[in-house]
Amino acid sequence: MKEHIKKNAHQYRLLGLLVILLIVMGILAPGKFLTVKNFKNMGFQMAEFGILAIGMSVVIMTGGINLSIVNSAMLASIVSAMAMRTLYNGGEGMADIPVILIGVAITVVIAIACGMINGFFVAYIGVLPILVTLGTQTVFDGIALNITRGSGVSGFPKLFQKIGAGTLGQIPYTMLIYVVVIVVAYLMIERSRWGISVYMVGGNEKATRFSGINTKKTIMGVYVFSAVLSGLAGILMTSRYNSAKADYGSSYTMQAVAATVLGGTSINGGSGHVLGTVIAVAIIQVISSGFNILKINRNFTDIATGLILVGVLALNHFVNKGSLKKRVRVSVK
Amino acid sequence: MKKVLAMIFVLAMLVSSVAMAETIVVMPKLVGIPYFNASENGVKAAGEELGIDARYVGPTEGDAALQVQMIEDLLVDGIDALAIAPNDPDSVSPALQKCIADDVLVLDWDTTANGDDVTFSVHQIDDKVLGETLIDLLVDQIGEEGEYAIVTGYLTAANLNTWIDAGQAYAAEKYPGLKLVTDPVPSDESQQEAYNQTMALLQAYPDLKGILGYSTPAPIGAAKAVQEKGLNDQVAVVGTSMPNDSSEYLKDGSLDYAVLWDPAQLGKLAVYVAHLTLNGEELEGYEVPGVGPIHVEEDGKTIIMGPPTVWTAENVDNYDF
Amino acid sequence: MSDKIKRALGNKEASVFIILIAVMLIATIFNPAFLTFSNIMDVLKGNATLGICSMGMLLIILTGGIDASVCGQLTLVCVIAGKIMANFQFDNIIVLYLLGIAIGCFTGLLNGLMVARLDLPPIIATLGLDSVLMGYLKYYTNGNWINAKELPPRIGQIGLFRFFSNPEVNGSGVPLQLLLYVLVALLTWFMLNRMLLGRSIMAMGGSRVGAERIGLNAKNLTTFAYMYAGMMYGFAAITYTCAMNSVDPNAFLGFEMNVIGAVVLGGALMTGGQGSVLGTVLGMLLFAFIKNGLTLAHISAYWQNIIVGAIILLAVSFDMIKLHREERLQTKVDIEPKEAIAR
Repeated sequence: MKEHIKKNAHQYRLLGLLVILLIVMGILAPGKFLTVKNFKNMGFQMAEFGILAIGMSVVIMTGGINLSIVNSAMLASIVSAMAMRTLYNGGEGMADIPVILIGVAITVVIAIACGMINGFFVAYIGVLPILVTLGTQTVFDGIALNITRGSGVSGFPKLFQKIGAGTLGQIPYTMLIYVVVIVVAYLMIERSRWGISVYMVGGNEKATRFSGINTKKTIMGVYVFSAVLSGLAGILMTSRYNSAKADYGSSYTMQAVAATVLGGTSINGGSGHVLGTVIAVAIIQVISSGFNILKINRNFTDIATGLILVGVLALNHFVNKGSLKKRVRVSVK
Repeated sequence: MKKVLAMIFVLAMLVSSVAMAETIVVMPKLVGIPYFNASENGVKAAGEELGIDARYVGPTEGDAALQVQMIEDLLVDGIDALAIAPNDPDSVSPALQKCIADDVLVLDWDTTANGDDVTFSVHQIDDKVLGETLIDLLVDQIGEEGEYAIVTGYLTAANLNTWIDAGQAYAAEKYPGLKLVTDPVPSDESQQEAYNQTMALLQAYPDLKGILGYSTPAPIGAAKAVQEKGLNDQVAVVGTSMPNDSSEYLKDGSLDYAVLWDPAQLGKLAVYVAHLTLNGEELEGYEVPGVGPIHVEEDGKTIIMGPPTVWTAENVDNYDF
Repeated sequence: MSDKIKRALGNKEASVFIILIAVMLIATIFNPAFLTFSNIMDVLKGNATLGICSMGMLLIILTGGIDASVCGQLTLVCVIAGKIMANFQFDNIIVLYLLGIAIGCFTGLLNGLMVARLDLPPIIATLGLDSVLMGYLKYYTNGNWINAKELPPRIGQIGLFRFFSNPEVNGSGVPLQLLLYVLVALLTWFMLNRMLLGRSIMAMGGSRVGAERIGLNAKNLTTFAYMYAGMMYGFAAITYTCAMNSVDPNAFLGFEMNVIGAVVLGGALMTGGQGSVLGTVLGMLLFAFIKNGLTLAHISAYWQNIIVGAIILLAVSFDMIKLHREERLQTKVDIEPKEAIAR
């Protein structure tokens, strides 16, 4: 147990911070913050960003980055929204359920295609991920703009809104989907053979290749996995906003990188935990919602988020320094 | 321990149940840009005049996702009325329906939301009228024939697209001699980008006679480029811009007309409409101080503030915002 | 032909150069107005801010870092300098430049200390600084512009200044901003190639452990890189304020991605140690000329992003494909760089 805590010290520190934030917000906004209503509300909001952040984390674990994650989500959503609109035809066309199933399928297929394009350039051509995704980000955004001419696409079955707005008892569906994504991502990355190869590629790609692992396949898989999650987030966003548009979620890209690094994943790859990212996302959500409820000027939310980012990681530095002094450490990454 | 918890709970209930003044929230597309900053002043002024809690909250980026989150958070806080300038009407629709389910009065202002989501729709002016006015002013400068280009904010900005489309439909019918040389060019709401794009347009289309700038930085950036190339008399620039920012360019002739309205008045009007409706008072004919009488259109929903103000070199000094 | 360019420019730079020439050729075929002196000058003037900032970013990327606080630092200088200009009608440009550089030096120092002394990941340290700066600046200014009416008249005049301009033709000649950009690029080149300081940064980016073993102080070098970048932003901010004759606190949102893009397109490696001034200049030019060329070629804005993205993908794949071909032709002894493990 002690060993476990030591190994995951960063995550426990984050968890501690989250608890402190919850308590502080609860005291500052009595009767409002620590309520079922607010938690439900945060559950609705957190899922789409959380899923994107996990998609980003997996890529960063291999030492890459996926700047196109939001754009692939929106491109997939737009194509599927257009298809759903045509099929549904304002109620004249197909029934609700088949329309939605086709829509979801199209989103996932397009997202996978986007992921394969990224994966192809990174794994098989060998271009740096930041360059590839900078390019594909522009292309995906361009296609989305081109086919929509900048306007939103809506007009699908009312039932589709249920995905983003419905609840099971008090728990939002979005939250349930998010939990499933967390569990699947955790099992795939931290408990599977494939996951080990992901970390290995991030640590040292060449050594991994020489050890007999098909690193190209691993990298391709990572980008496809990231894209599938982006597609899922796209479905949630389309449902929650009842439309798909080229610029939705434009603020999520850098935030997802920040959440990943705050969660303890090294930007150079080779390390990191899904749960770290999940806790980081929760921290960002609590600050954001809490400040809104406290009627604090929105600009201070940005300031507080920035300070917490820096503060938490600076804390790591001091703690690590302290423990270094006590004993000589053999560092194996 | 139980006692402490109970105390905290009781205290919390007390604090939250202290009878609050009527809370009206006006939500812009984003905070921290001059246009929506000016409307904040109107909202605050109305709050003071009426002695109510008139709050102005919005996201720091023009992202629909952030707006939805804010609405949901506001509901947790508890409000009486929400006047929203949606970044995207469809995307906020589910959140606005939640408001209605929570007995919150919902209006839209500045930009139209979906009809089912709002009780009243408060507008600066008719979108169609603005789009047409811009074309008329352009024609006033370049005549009924000639090439022109459009520099816009973002290609995804719903209200800008509405104005552009309205103007295009009007121009196609009334001024067939006008020729739009290329699809609207985005400037990312940045003066530098508008300047760069205008420079490129001037090179690309040597016969260009006019530029229409949509979004507040676009006309300024375009005027800067025209000024620098010494084309003040050859290329007309007309666009939506604030008087203080555009005054220098209007005076040297690089910008010919700036068109907009007083955003402060609009903010004020939105608060008044919300307040009157909450208190069940008659809207029609109510005299809003500094704005004028309210007139509800025939659809029983739309309230239009008035025609846009057109600023020229002569009258721009009479305005300060 | 390609070989000669390669020898003259170095491998990475050659690829960007070839793509750049191809883009310019195609644009010229579509519209001869592209390859005119006045168009080239206008594009360079319009992108001088980007160019100056990219010199600072280059240094940071050479250390293996990244700077997400370009927007915040630029805006801070613009707002402080703008307020001074407007409130006191202060128009001594030399003092303003010194002030801008000093402020940038300070914010850069903050970044440098966070990265070098507190061991924060550069993206977090700089993103944190950016959120704090932008949050405060937006709150303080409320997004209001400091406009041409408020600024002293000389500021705008400086922004319009051009060398060798033909008094008959407005906006002709070589813009001041271009000269400033060239000066900054030369200075950066000189430092990186001819001074111990610059060589040390290159060496450290290549292998931090190796650099420390030969007695270089990696912490100080890293801090210096961030300070240098801050100074470049300060310099760029004043240049920008004069050129645009206004201060818009929202002007630089998302600008950091353009700056990073120009540097990495120019062949700099995000892991550090590799990159050059020439490459960065070419990367910036590629960015600037694609956009301008597309508009001049009468391409609709709805197609522009698709084409820009495709060209980026093409450009970045180009030398990798070449590399693969060469690899196949020769057997290579691979020596794994050690710093990946040491980190």
